[in-house]
Amino acid sequence: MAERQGAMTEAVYYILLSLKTPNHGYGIIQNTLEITKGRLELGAGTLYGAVNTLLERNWIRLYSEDKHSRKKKQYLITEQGNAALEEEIKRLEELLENGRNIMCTETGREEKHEKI
Amino acid sequence: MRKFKLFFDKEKEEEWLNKMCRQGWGMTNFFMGVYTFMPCAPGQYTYQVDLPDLQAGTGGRDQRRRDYIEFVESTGAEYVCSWVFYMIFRKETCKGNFKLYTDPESEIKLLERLRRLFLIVGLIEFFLSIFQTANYINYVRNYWSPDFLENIVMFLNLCPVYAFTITILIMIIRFTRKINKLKLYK
Repeated sequence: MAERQGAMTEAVYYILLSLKTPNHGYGIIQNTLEITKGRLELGAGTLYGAVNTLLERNWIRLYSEDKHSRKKKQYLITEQGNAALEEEIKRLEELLENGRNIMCTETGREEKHEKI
Repeated sequence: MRKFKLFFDKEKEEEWLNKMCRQGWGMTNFFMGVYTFMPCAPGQYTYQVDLPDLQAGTGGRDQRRRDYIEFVESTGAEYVCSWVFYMIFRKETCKGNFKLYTDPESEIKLLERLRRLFLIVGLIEFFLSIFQTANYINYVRNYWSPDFLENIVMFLNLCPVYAFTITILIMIIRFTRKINKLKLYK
């Protein structure tokens, strides 16, 4: 990766997670719905655009193509995709940690103020 | 049943198609502003008008079109028809929500595609209106009719092309505003 990696969109993040095992478009939508407990339903246009971008970046690759089935194209995450995902998780962890630390000390301070 | 209607705003078009569907008329075809409707159960479908990104994907243009349609259909929707760069899809309401673009990033890209298309059409219309105006001025100069009304009528003939150009300009401004708003909240 030549460029510094920016924050992933939710769609990209969940597509990559859904492609840890080979999956087709509809499967990605279903898996995302499932692991976000129904919060995130990817639209077909959004998914199509994101999958094509990821293919261009070589973060995912075509796994199999079934000419007879409608759900014909299956995709799979690549090593590069995996690395990007790991980096993103590290970034998200840092975000969470900083957020929790600062928010917790703030509530702690507020409580102290209340005691005084 | 057939109905003639012109839309510039695809969101208004979707609203209208969904309203027609609630009244038991499911849209099945479109040609030159004429919408064909077939009877359906009231509210059976949800419609979406799309301007897909056909630069994406592999293979020739036709292949990419087919790929895209197949992809959308694999998510439980149904391809209805297409018109030049536009495509219309519908999904049975009982099968759940139907929205093609669900995040600000892809919505911005869609709006940018729409804006680019309108910009090209708008430019053509703009030059056409200048050309026609010049023509009119030339004509009036050479053959100024003693009948004042005739000149007015001739001028009125120019109005549709002006109205069209102005509408497209307004749409371009609207797209830009929507894009900026989405970028702000992204």
